[in-house]
Amino acid sequence: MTRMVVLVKQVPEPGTVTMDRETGRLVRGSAPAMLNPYCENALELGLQLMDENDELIAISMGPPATKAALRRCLELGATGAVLLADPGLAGSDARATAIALAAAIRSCVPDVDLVLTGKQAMDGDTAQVPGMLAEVMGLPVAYDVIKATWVEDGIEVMRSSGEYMDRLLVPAHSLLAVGRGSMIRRLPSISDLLRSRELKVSTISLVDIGLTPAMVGSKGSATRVVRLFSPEVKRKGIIIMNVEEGAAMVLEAAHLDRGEEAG
Amino acid sequence: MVWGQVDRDGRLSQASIGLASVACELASVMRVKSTMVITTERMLHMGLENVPANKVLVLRCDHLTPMMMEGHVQAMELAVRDAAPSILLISATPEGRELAPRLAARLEVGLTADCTALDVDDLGILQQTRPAFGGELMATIVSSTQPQMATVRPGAIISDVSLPPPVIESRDLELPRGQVIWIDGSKLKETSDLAGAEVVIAVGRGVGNVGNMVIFERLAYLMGASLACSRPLADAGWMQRGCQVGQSGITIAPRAYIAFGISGSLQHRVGMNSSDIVVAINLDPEAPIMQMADIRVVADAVDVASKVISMLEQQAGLSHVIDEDALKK
Repeated sequence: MTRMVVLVKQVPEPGTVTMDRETGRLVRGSAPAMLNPYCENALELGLQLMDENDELIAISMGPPATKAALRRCLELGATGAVLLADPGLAGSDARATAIALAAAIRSCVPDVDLVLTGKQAMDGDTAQVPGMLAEVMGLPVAYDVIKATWVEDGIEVMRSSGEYMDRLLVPAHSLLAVGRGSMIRRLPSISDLLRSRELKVSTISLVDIGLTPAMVGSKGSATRVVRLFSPEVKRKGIIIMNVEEGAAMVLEAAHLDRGEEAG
Repeated sequence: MVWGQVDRDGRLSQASIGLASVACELASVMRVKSTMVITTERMLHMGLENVPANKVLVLRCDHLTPMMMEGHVQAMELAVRDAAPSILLISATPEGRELAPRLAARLEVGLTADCTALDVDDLGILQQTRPAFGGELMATIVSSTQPQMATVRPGAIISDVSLPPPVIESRDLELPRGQVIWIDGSKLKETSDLAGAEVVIAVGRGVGNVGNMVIFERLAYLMGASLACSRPLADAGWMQRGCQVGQSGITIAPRAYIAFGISGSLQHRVGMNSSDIVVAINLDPEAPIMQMADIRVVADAVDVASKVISMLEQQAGLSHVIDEDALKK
């Protein structure tokens, strides 16, 4: 039997977040939320790798409202769901998040084989948690995974990063950070929905995973936002209303370098 | 300290060289030396004397292939623990984005991703600025740990320093083979020359239909410019993904950025807002890109492009005649 963990994050729908200019933290408030698309890809990959008796536990860290994202994971086929929620986690940077998630996995699924994550979250776009988590857990890692299949001596993975598509062999006990791919969004079947009704999202706090607020949250974070500002735009803003003059300006702008050299 | 990334063609990556320049500027403000640490499987064939750094340290080991980051994490950890730099910068290439968080976790330090501006204050604290919310706001972040570590978007910060040739030191390392094994791989697309282009013609949905693309290809050819696009055109397959400018594409800062029929979403502007001159051609004077353009041409993209082409062809015809005259003499 294989035990898999998929880490998911609930993110605000694009364009609905604001930031507290005093604290530099995201104000999630009542903004509509969704399952981060890369995390959904990770869940889908986990479901594809899953055999009949295998386990796939979805774990998330976030405010209590994150239960909705975990509920969706159960509907889509996850066999269990755990929410790590604690006020002490507020303000965690990527490394503090990785430490908290590693502790949550250690206490909830101590004999985990494979850990799946999205390669980055749409709200922060830092792509730091998977690599940090792999290091904290001491696991080998493959980034930008778009496909994975079990083979005799591990998992064969397709990685699409930058200009290259690579085939990798990854040990069965490892972490895969899943990127975009051609995965088709799964819709819960009636039987999945019925089955998921029997399942509960369990909630744990820092005490349950043996951490104190000093180790995570803003206290446990080495990075902090000191300033927020609107991008500065200093542009001339010359307005041109006709094609001929516009075309002449295009040429002038493009050939400015030659003009300078000549001068 | 800067990570010197070696590409699959065996050359030091342009992104690393650019970043080394940025590091030099910071180092001179702080009155410290800058070092580039190159981690590589074989000796580089290029001359390292042009690398903008005070010192270049080459760490060599058979397991330091450009495909797998495991060994690079270990090699960089050794280099950092040895030299204890106050700042460590890594290009936010796909490889750098894997290396940096793993290295930060091992060193137990904070990391800021994808910076677009860096600065040091009087106390030597690195001010790391990156876009937040798809570029709507900029956030400046500081680290409380050393080295202060950041990844930097390739091409986002331009710096030009001239230094005497660096001191070059090489060392062979014995590293264990990584647990993840590279089986094979293939190149997805041709590398675009956009990153170093002086003039970029960028096209968006406003160019109308795919049949008009030939006009812009001709325009770019005649102007000696590189052709880029906004996301919808890459999504539609009119141009390759590698030509897409913006948050999910590449960041460029050419001397002139000429946007034809691009509305200019936040995500797009993040990829080009450091350009020296921005010209926007759009029928909608209220389009976001018009608000940030130096020259705002309210006209049809295809009309303006066609006009520029005919002007250039006329010029070319003229110079052709002049050349012939010169030959006769």
